[in-house]
Amino acid sequence: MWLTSSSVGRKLVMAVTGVCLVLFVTFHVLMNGVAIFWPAGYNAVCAFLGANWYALVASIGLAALFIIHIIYALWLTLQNRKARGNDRYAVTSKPKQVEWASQNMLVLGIVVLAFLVVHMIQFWAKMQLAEILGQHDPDPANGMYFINAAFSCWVTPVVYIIGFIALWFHMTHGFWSMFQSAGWDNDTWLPRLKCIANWWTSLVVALFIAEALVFTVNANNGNYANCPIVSGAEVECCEAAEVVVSMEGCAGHHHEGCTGNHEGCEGNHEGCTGNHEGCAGQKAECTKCEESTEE
Amino acid sequence: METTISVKLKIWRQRSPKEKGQFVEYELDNVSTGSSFLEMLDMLNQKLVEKGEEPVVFDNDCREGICGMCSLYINGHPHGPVQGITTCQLHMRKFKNGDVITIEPWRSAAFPVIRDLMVNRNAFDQIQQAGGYVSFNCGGAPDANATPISKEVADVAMDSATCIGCGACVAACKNGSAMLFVSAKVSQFALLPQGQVERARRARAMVKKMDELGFGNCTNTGACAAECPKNIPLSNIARLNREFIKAKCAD
Amino acid sequence: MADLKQVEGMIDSTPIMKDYADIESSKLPEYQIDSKIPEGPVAEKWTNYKAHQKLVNPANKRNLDIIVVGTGLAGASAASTLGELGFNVWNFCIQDSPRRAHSIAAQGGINAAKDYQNDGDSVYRLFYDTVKGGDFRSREANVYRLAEVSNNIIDQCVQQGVPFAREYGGLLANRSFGGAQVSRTFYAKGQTGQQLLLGAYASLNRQIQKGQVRSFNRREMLDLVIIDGRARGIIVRNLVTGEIERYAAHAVVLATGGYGRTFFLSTNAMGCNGSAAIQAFRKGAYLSNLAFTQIHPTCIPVHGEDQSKLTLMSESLRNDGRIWVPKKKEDAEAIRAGKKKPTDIPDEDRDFYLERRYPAFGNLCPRDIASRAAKERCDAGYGVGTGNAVYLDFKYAIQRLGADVVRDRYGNLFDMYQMISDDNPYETPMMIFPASHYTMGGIWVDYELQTSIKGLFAIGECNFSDHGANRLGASALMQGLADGYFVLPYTMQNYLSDQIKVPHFSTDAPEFDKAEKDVRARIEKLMNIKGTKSPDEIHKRLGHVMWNLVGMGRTLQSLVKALAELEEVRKEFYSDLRIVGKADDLNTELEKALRLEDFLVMAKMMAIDALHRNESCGAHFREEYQTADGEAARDDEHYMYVSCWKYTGDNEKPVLLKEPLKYEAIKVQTRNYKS
Repeated sequence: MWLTSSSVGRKLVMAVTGVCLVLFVTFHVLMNGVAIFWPAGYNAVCAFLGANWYALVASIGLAALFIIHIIYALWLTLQNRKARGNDRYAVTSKPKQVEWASQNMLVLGIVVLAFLVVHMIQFWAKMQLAEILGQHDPDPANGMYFINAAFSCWVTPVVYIIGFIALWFHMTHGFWSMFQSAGWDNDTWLPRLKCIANWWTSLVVALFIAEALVFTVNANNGNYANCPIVSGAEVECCEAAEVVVSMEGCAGHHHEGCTGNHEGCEGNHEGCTGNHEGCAGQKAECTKCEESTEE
Repeated sequence: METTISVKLKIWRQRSPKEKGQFVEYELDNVSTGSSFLEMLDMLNQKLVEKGEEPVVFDNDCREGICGMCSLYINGHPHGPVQGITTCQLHMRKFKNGDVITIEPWRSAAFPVIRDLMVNRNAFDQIQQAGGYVSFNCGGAPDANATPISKEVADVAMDSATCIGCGACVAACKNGSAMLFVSAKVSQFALLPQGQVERARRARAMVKKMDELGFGNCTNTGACAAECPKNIPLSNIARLNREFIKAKCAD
Repeated sequence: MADLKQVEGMIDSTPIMKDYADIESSKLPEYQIDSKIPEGPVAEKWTNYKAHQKLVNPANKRNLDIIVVGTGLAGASAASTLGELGFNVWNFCIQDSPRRAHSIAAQGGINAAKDYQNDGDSVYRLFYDTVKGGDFRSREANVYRLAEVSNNIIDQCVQQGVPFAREYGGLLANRSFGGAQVSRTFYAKGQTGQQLLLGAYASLNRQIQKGQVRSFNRREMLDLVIIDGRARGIIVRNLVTGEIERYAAHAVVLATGGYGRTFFLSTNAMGCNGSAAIQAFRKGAYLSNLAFTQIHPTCIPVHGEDQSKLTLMSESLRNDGRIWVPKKKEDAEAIRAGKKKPTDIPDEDRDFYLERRYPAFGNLCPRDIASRAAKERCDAGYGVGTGNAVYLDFKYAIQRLGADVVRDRYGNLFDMYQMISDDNPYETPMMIFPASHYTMGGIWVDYELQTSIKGLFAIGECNFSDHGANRLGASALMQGLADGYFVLPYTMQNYLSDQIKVPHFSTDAPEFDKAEKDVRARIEKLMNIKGTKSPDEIHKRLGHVMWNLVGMGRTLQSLVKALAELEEVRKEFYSDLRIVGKADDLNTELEKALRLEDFLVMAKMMAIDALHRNESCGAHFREEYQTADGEAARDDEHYMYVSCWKYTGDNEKPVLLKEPLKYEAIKVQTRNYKS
């Protein structure tokens, strides 16, 4: 099989898994944004990506991408070290055209991986894994709760930022490199791809860092602790909305639709789409709904 | 203006592929800044011979940067610190009085050291033998102007064909990859109409041979292109990848 | 000697002179040299030959082994083509790969009579220009054949994927070169030799892959093995292990290049040598026209004593560059003293001496003429730089064409110049001076490229054949490839056709034993001298003698002196040589010493050949034979022949044989590049 037996094939595997991982990372940073601007929506996404069959399939796929990417990386590196021979150069010097990252992809990858392990312990293990294992307290779908838990400790942002910087280096090289390995490159596009790679990666990483900082500030200011969404308390739609609106940092303004007349209030309990018609079967739990029905 | 300088040389001496090598230091005075780097080594060897010591063995031949015979990893750079030239084109005016110059052989598993700074680059020949040609017998060629080739294409093919097979790309690559070398030849033929018929076969065969010979995997660091004395661009590697992937997908 | 009386009048009757003065007296009957030129008009000879030569059928070809020594344009093209035909080929080179042969360094281009430019070119005109450029000292039939097959070479190379320069319309581009009034030179940037050699190397690789050619790198031929009067094998030294190896075959082809490094400083590669030619000479092959050594006019001047190699700037530069020296001696002196810059000299004070002396060809006159003219100016005190340099100025081309066009045409050459000299040729004129570059002389071959030893063939620069007394630019590549692709594969079959019954040779034959024993004895002898001088030191001394006395301008006195000094160098070599290291090991000093030993023989033969040829023709300029305006004065009556030197013993005088040259298709005339 040429994807394993040839060097070009192996690099193509790295490129294809790399593309998927870049897309995943990009998706992830956008999703994190939801947690800032719309905590309730974030929790909904968390619930959606819980132990559902589609989410599990996606997770397994994602895990496979990571594992293939990592195994190939180790395999290629071992081969490359062997190809280099036993005697190493006494003096080496990097030409200015060569990116530092490109020569340190494995190290950078390991840093990213280490970060990933921490990240998975903080989130995945308590969310999807917990759900699979049938643990329900705290609610595995309450992403905001875990954000609060993780970022209230000062170590977390430090670790994350180190991970993000490593990711920046890893991805700026990996981004254009995957086009090169897939043969989709030429003299005109090489500089363009490098430029796109830098912008794309910088945006993604800048967002990640900003998000981590916002989470840290919020978590340490106790903003999340007061937020009923985060605390995981059974809240009623509009009550929660009021609280949220009043709460700085909990980005409640994204709930602005939920002004007590239910418009736009769709996150906290399923089915309540605001105009009552769709609010089927859960009226009992929604006092406002009851009220409005009474009206 | 030409002056003379003194330099301190740290040169890798190794008797055979199997024996362990080590650095030996030499001091050399009165080196004219107008002389070439290899002439400086000639001077050193003359001195060594006068003392009855064996001269430093290094490959060299044309001394005008085209045969690809000279190698030498000088102060951390294949073909020395000046980009776009071979060792034989390097001149001593690029060094300062009192400089320490470390000279090592190409280090790559596929290029075993023969003696001192001389390595065996036979692997490159084997890769070319695997498919670096258009298969036809002498006498069967059509008129040279029968197939027009656009100047742009011919020029790009020429740029790829400029490779001198010195092995600096492998020496510069932290992975010991020969992709730039292979891609230059594959590109030349992929661009020209004469190479079309065997395009897929060539890419497959040459990559296969390259892998067999123990060259590393390309990780797109670009050190090869940066250190290439003939400035072969990195886009050749993308083209080789493309050619190879297309060939494999067509199988 | 033809003019013995005159000689005696001019110099003292030194012992040396006496030794060589009677060379003519050993004259053997004329016409005993059979050059096997086919019958018929010159334009039909090759066609007739091909129609009637004997061939070897495919089943028999596989039973025949051929050794090809050398992998340059001639060697690689011959080895690959013979392989394609089905012969078993054994191919040897001294470098680490066949691709490194010195043909790779040829810059300018390759001639062919395609007439793609519609400027009046034809096979006949290429033939005529080549014979005239060679000052009527080349064999007419060979040159015509060369011009005939020149077109096939271009077709062959394009099909190989050689990226020749093209016009925007997609067709091949041409440029003009010295000695021609048409644009017939095909080129690939300034790396034509590289591209052509890589093309031949590619074809060779295809045969190696097929197993038809076996390639042996880092092997140096040290002797030729003759069995029953035929060349049947070679003894080589493995340059990595130092082992002596034997190889046998039905025929041996030498494609080992020229002997230009006899001058030590030359544009040739460090490994270039004349050893194979000398080994063949010792075994009975004639050496011909050795005095015809080309001095290339556009090289970068010598900078100092430690220099080991001169760099050529492509002759194509003369297309757009103008060559000049200051008109006033005081300007030249001021420039040499560093008080004035070339750009300070106004146009009216510049002497464009080539344009002045040769209005019709100007800066594009043939190499020998351009070289001598430069030497003449420098000898007269108008030289710049160290005194041994003239200017090649692109100011006018930049004014006319713009810097971009000039950069496009010559950019890489300019960069190379700047790297070596530290001067920017876009701003200040380049300095150039002639240097030893190519050797027209070499192993004598007949029309079939067979030497005077049966079964031994010589192709490319190492034979004497096509360039006469002077080679035109862009013709060396043409000759090498013509020999290898289109001539030898035909003519060799004529010889091999009666060899089909001869079984494969064993290298255990007593002749191989003896040859190997001789080689070992020779190496041992050199190793045991245990003197004080390195081969390079002695080689430098040899080079000085040759450049000063057997160089661009020769005189009877200088040549006689050269022979005496060569004897001194030879004595020094055999008494004071020092080779460090061991014989049965990688030993670069031993390699140099072995080559130098052969250069010493070659040098002596060159001097003898130059001494015997009492005329000036082409690159051989005997100062006593010149016209009133300083041009070469040929002596067609006495010297219109190929000198063929036969070996008679290490300390014996060589015997001179003559192959008379007959011109049927061309009217012999004085070479004129003035009008």
